[in-house]
Order: sequence, then structure tokens, then C-alpha cells
Amino acid sequence: MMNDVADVVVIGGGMQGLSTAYFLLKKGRNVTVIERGDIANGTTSRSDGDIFVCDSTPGYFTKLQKAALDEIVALTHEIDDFDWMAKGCVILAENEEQVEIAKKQYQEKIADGIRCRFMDKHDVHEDEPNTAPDIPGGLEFPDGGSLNPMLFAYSLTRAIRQMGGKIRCFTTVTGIDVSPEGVLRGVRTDDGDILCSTAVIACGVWSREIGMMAGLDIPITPMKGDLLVLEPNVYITRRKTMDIGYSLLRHKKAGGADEKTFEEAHGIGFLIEPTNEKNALIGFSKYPADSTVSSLGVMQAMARRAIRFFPIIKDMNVIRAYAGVRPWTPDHEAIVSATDVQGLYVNAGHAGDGIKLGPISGKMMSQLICGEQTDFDLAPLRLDRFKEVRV
Amino acid sequence: MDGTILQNGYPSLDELRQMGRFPSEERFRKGPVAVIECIQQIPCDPCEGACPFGAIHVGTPITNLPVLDENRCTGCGACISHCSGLAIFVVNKAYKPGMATVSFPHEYLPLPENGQIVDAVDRAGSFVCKAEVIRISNAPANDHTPVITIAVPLEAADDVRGMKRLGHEDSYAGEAERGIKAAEGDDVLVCRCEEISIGDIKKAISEGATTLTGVKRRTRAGMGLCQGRTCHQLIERMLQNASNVPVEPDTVRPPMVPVSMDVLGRSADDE
Ligand SMILES: Cc1cc2nc3c(=O)[nH]c(=O)nc-3n(C[C@H](O)[C@H](O)[C@H](O)COP(=O)(O)OP(=O)(O)OC[C@H]3O[C@@H](n4cnc5c(N)ncnc54)[C@H](O)[C@@H]3O)c2cc1C
Repeated sequence: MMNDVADVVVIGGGMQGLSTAYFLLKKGRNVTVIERGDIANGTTSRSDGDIFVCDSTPGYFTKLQKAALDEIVALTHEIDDFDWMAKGCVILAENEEQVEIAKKQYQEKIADGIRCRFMDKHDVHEDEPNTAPDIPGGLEFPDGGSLNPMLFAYSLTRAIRQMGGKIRCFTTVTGIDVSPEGVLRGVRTDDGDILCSTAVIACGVWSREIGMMAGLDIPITPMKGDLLVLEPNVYITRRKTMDIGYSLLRHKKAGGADEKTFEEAHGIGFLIEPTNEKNALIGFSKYPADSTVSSLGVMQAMARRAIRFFPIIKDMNVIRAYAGVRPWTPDHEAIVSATDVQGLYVNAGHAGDGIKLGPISGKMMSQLICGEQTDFDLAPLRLDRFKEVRV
Repeated sequence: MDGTILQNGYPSLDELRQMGRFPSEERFRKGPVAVIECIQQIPCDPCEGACPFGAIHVGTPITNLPVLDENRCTGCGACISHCSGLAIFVVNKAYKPGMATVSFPHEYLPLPENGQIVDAVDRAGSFVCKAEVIRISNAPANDHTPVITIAVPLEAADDVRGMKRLGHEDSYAGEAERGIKAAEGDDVLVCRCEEISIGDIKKAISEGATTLTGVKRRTRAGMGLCQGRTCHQLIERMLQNASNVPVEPDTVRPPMVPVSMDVLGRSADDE
């Protein structure tokens, strides 16, 4: 047992926890991160590393995502390399109806100041010759890129330690100590208590249970996603390519009663991402489930969907599949917020964008804790917005 | 019903037959013959060089599956211990009337003794029948992979592919560790698919990896084509030496062997 004192305790060593600790340390705060497993034990290690501004709601959230991208590019100059590849991405429409949706999205993105190009059938096939011959159009987003989330987490870890931050892995938070007046007094772990006046819940899908320890209702639930890994040294596309259903699904919770087919109920779509390790990831799926075991039916449906867009994938081998759970909120946007317990904060619920939004959220959380002006108005990300909805 | 490679990680007899990976019944009747149950398209070809009769062909690319020329094969078994995937067997269906022999690699100590009655198991490791050990080959050429031959009823010859291990004291990992110590040198490759060396693994452990997953994520060892079949035991032992606590078993992720997108997409839904 090791009783301890800290200025700020960050609970969770995933993307949000590490980013929060990094920015707090840069402001000179004394930080201890508590992680119940190894670094990035949760969803961060089961993720893709796509950092694009192509599927966000117009307005505030698109601007937030643009700032998130800039923050990541800035970090490439501050911490060890994390395989950042700035390649942009392509979104494909499957039929004429989706071409119309693409045209509308094009207008919205231009209005929010995001670079974007509408591609007709000819453009699509010129850009990626392996695309199925009948694909009628798409959008190109020249900005953004991809990174390796694991390397990102390890680079942040090294930077945190260099700045004197403490990271205690394989230590589980078991309780939150709150005074009768509703003020945070400390955090209990299976390896001793830590006295602190500030703590951040950054536990992804597990934030709900941590919140309950302090009497808070944090409405985050698991939304599963599966990925397939193709054999090395295959060439399909130059860059990340996905079907437009990806952005449509973003605003929709799969598994509704009106969804008839297996594909609809499991939010099956197409995404391919060539990685720096010279293989490619194939996705995607999106459905409420609390398991990180790959589902065979979903793997099969994703394979069919991928062949639909890129028939040459047919003969390529899948060597591995994995799955993760996105921390999902009722309005699918993140929670970066103070709480009813004084000194206790939440930085979680980033759904399918938690790698991209990690640094900007961590930075704003550090500003909030230090009483500074935040880069964005945090009202749309407050925890109590869900209370209002329920009343 | 028989499972499939996709579900279980090992091929069913039907699948092996369909893939044309089984010698003909006619050849089986003539005496001992190698049965190559390799379904891993990995960069690996020691079996080709191991055959004194030129009966095994891998060719280029090196990820091809080996093809057996059943008429050249004499069933000598030289290939068995050279297959790092432990996927080659010799079956003799002409051993005695109604009896066959099966020879297989067995990397567990203690070894059985000649004449000992052991439990014969199938590809999944499940008990099939009792069997008598008739030969134990542990020649230096086997390079620490003993080959055991057991006699089984003829009907069991296509199913039996090994025996239950006898003790748990010393395992393949022990052998593997000895191999590593003998090799020394940080530049020795542990993971051949991703070209990860002993030094890389040591560095990951020093940076805080305490589990196989921790090493994999830091180095990519075991994440290549063969998905760790060759290196996981070695890494586990290195972790164990570093920490003195038992290492958590690794998560197994499907599919157990590479499967084409087409086959994956077409296989029947089971949900
Ligand atoms: C298949 C898939 C693909 C994705 N692709 C992308 C993408 O391309 N781009 C993108 O931006 N996002 C993507 N995401 C989303 C992204 O992965 C997540 O939003 C992000 O990883 C969440 O990070 P986090 O730090 O909030 O949570 P986590 O990474 O889950 O971290 C929470 C940590 O808290 C720890 N913890 C839990 N309970 C306790 C306790 N009691 N005590 C101590 N520690 C505890 C856990 O061990 C865990 O390490 C994807 C997600 C999935 C599933």
C-alpha cells in the first residue's frame, strides 16, 4: 500500500487521460495518472488513428475538429514521432442518391472553411483505379491524416515522465472521497489512497462506474466497432477511403427497431486505411455491445462490404480481427466538463473521435482546471446538458 | 458437425481434403508417407530443404504452401522436426493389418518411453484412443524437436495427430529459452515476420511491458503473418524471467489462420 498526495489525479491512461496530464504538466501542475492496466489499456489500443474533419456536424463541432487536427500537427513537433501521415482521405458515394448527399456535404464543409473537392465518376477512378467501376462519385478531403494511436500514447507517456509527471500503471481506482459539502478530498485505489483537491475522470466507457463512486450520473455506454487487418504488402488504395455511410452513421445509433437487416442493425459500412506497417485496416461496424471479442457475422458482413467497393480485395487475406468499444453519449458528442462535485472533472465520451479530439480536449481540460479561458466555449460539452434533456 | 479453421484455429479433415493437402488413399496403402497440414502462408521453407528426396516443393514466393510429390516421398520423416509450425506428420496405414502408425513432433518433456501406452489426441488436442509408443527419435538433426511414433487403430489414422503431454514441469518454452540463451546476441530475430530482435523485446520490457500484449503493442512482435505462432513462447519466457510473476495468457484473435476476404464474406452467417 502506498498512500500519496497529488495536486491533480488523472484517472485513466488512455488518450484523454494522457493528453490531460500532458497539458497540465506544461502549465506546471503536479500530476499523477492512475491506470488499472498498462498504458492505453482501453479503447485507445483498439482504435484506428484517423484524424480527419469530414464527418462532423456543421458549425461548432466542425470547427472544434479542425482545431483538434491543428493541435495534433503541433504535437508532431513537441513529442516523439507517432507515425503521423498527412495524406487526406476520400469518401465514396455508392449510388446517385448518395452523390446528392455528397454534394450537400461539400457545401457544408466549404461553408465551415474545410478544404474539400467534389469528385465525379471519372475523378474517383482516376484517383483510386481499383475502385469498383460503378461507383459514381465522392468527396476528397486533402487535409488530415492518420497516426498510430499506440505510438501516440507511448510518446505522450515519455513526455509526461520527462516533465516529472507520475504514471502508476496496474493500479485501479476503487473509490472517490467526497466531503459532505460535496468537495473532492481524494481518490482511493487498490494500492493506497491519494489525497488531492482535483481529479479528472478520463476512463472512456468505464467513466460511468467511476462517476457512480462520487454519486454522479455520467451517461456513457459502449458502442462496439470491429476492424479487420489485411496481410502485409498488399496495395488497394493510396489513402484512407470510406463509404459515405460513415458520416451518415455518425449521427445515428445503430440497433434501432426500424432496422431490418443484419447490416443495418450492426452499422456495417466500408472503410480502408493503408497503415505505415504496410498492411491495411478494413472496417467498420457500429452497434451497442460491451465486448471486445470480434463477431464472426460482423467480420463477414464487413468483408462483403469491402469487396463491393474494391473487388480486388477478394483475394487478399485477413490475418487478424479486433474490436473496441467507443465511449458513446446520448448526443454522441464528448463530455469535457466540471461536475457537481467541486474539484472533480470529466473528460470522456469521445465516441469514434477520441484519438483526434484527445489533445484539444486535454488542453481545454487543463485550461478549465487552471481557471483560464478555454479555446472553445465548453457549453456544448458540459455534463449537465444531459440533465436538462431528461427534465 | 466439424468446425472450420475460421472458428477453431485448426483445419477439419474435410477442409484438408478439399484443399488437396492429403496424400491419396492409394499412396497411403503403399506405406509411410508425409502429411503436410500447413495452411499458413508465411515466409517459411525449411521443409523444402529438409527432404532428402526433393519431394517437397515451396518455390517462390516463399509464402507458397508446400506441395508434396507423394511418389517421391518415402515417409522417412526428416521433414517433421524442421517444420516450425509443427504441421507435418508421417502416417503409415500399412503398418499391420487393421493398425496404422502416426509420427508427430512432440516438444514437451518428459518424453514417453518405448512401449508406453499414451493418450492419442486429434488436431484439437482431444482424446481419440489409447496408443502404444513404438519409436522416439531425438537425434541432434531434430534440433530439440523429438519425433514420436505411436501405433493406433487404422480408423483413427486420419484423426490422431499427437499425444497428451505427460508432465507440465518443463515445456517447449523451456526448450525455447535454452535456444535463446545459446544464440545470445541482441540482434537475433525472435519474430521473423516483423523482424523483431531479442534487443527490441528487451527494450520493450525495460519500458514497462509486463504482458505479451504489452510487448506486441510496443514492438509489433507476433503481429505479422504467422500471428505469433513462432515467437509467442519465446517472448513469454523472456517476460517471465524479467518479472518472476506468471505471464498472463495472450488474447487470441480470429481468424486463427489467414483467410481470404472472399472466403470470409461467403461463409455462412452463424449469428
Ligand atoms: C474500432 C474503433 C475505431 C476507432 N477509430 C478512431 C479513429 O480513427 N479516430 C479517432 O479519433 N478515434 C477513433 N476511435 C475512438 C477512440 O478510440 C476513443 O474515442 C478513444 O480511444 C477514447 O479514449 P479514452 O482515453 O477516453 O478511453 P480509453 O482509451 O478507453 O481509456 C480509459 C482508460 O481508463 C482505464 N480505467 C478504467 N477504469 C479504471 C479504474 N477503475 N482505475 C484506473 N483506470 C481505469 C482503462 O484501463 C483505460 O485505459 C475508434 C474506436 C474504435 C472502437
